[in-house]
Amino acid sequence: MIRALPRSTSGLVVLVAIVLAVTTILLGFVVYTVSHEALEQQLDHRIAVETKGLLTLHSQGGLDALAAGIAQREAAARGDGMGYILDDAQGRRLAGALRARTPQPGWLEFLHSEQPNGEQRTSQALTTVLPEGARLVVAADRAPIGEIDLAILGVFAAAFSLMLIAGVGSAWLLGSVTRRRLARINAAAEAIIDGDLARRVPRDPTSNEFDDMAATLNRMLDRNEALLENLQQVSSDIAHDMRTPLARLRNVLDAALRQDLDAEQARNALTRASNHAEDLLDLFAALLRISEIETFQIRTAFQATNLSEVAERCIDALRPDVEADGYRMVADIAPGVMLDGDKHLLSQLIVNLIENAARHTPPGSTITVSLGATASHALLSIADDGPGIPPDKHAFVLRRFSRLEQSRNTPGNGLGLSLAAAVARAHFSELRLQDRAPGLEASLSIPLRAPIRQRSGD
Amino acid sequence: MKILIAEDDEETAGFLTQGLREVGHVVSRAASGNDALFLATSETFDVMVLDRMLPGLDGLSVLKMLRAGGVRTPALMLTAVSRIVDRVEALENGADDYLIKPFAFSELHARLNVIARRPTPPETERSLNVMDLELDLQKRIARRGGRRLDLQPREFTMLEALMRNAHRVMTRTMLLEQVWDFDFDPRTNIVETHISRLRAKLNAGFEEDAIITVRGSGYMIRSE
Repeated sequence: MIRALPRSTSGLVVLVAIVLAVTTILLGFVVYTVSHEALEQQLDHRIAVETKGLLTLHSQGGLDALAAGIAQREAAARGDGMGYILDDAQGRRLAGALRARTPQPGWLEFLHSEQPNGEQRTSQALTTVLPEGARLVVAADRAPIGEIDLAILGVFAAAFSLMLIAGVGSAWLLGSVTRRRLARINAAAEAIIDGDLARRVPRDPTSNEFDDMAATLNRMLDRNEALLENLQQVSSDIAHDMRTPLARLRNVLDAALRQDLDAEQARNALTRASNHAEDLLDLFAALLRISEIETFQIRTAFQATNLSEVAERCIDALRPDVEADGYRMVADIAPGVMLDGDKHLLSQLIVNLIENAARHTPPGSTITVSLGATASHALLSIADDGPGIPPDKHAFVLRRFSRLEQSRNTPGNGLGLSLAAAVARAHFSELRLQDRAPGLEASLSIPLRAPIRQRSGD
Repeated sequence: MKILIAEDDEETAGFLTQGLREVGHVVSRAASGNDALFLATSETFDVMVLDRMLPGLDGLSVLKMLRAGGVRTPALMLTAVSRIVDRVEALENGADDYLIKPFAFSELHARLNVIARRPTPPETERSLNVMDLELDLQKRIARRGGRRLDLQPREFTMLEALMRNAHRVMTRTMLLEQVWDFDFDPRTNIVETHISRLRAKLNAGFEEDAIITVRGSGYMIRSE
């Protein structure tokens, strides 16, 4: 389907072609006029010189010499396009072979004459009145001007046609190339609208602009898909994991309603119900927090943060509890590691990783927190020497609510690691889990300067 | 205390108003930002609670306008849990504290008590004294009954927070914020553990418990 709307590519190229063709016409007109004028002048010049020569003959030898000179010229140069007439004062022809009516004195642009063979000709002529009253006409054939004019017009007509054909042709070509590329993008978009969320715009390395756009569109689609998956996962996670605590809450309340409780017992039942509700709210809060972190809006509030201090505070806060439970805690924190970030989220990341290590290793294990820095990145690692997690389960445990079967009975909502992973991503980093054999190491490398640093307008 | 509550949600407003009246406060309620602005400028309150989201003028704009107009009434901003950025904004624009919905009433009450009675002893103070406890803030030395206590730096900070807010309850979350700068609640019983260690150090050799546990709320330094 060809759409010749003024804003379509082909419409624009046709417009350009027309402008070029019109320019060619204008150029042709100018060249035609200038060369035509030049030829006219040349012809006038030739006539004037010829007349001057003949008048010199006349002044030397009178009419006879002039008539002889004309005859001589006509005899000598046949076919050079010059023609002569010499009439005496009474209008009798004295010399000259030009078959034409003798014109009035002065310049005449178009003098019609007839060749001996009957052919019509048009000449440019200068008529001079001699002292005796005789008239001398010198004429030059205009045919060469007409020929050159025609030639010029012909060349430009051809150029105009070529320009129009090439213009419309390239318009069609460019238009169809653009349309084909856009059609692919359109097809991808339509497929996504129809539910094929994994569909991407095909790449084409032969075309820089289109390939760049395809790459950008694909990154946008990746991001949207990730956000959408995030949303879908949150919804299904909530549906799954909220059932149990909600059911417990209802059981407590049902039991309380069925029995005849005294004030003290009622208060206890209500306290238990309130605690269950509290747990549910905590779960919601953690979920919403992860979702918010994953929008990366928090990046607008990033500030220069001393990660060393943050890490020290977290270790200091958790050490008594962790050590009281029989773990060894080793800290190796390089001082003064400054980066762009959110100190609260980074605290939560470290606390979650330490709590996670303590929760999934037996007492007696060693938890090592280390922080170092390169010129561009902070390197944070929380490692344990416990049973670890099989490498094929690493991706799984970073997902929301995911808990490995052996840890189903330990406390925790399964959100700790996924929250840490979200915080890492917000800080332009990635939480990596590695098997230390024995043990698990969670590490991340955070850029000291956030790649995009923006501050909300305040 | 005379308290202004700017909250458009009837249920939350009712729950706050009732709770605060039960513990003896006088409460005025505004259901929109414009009402809040009017009330806060025409009457004097000891403290105000502003919801971030209000019909008409939102809570943050109300606060900005009040502060620009020289109204210094201590303000606590209520924000939704999914808007971390709001909290930063609230504090930058003159809120004295913020609380994330949903919250426990005891938490709100404790925080209102703290911000309403400001100023606490100024930061420049050289020492703090409550009963037989004495903190030398410059040398970072703590004494009880003249006897020097061997405190970790963080335990000292915790004791300082409790003593600066003598007569007021410090909740777990308030201690987490002030001592460790945590704005989240770890699963581990950090506060309980540290309080019990601090308590053990404070009480060694003394009859009276220096720290009072307020059930369901938090902790208080014994001041009488």
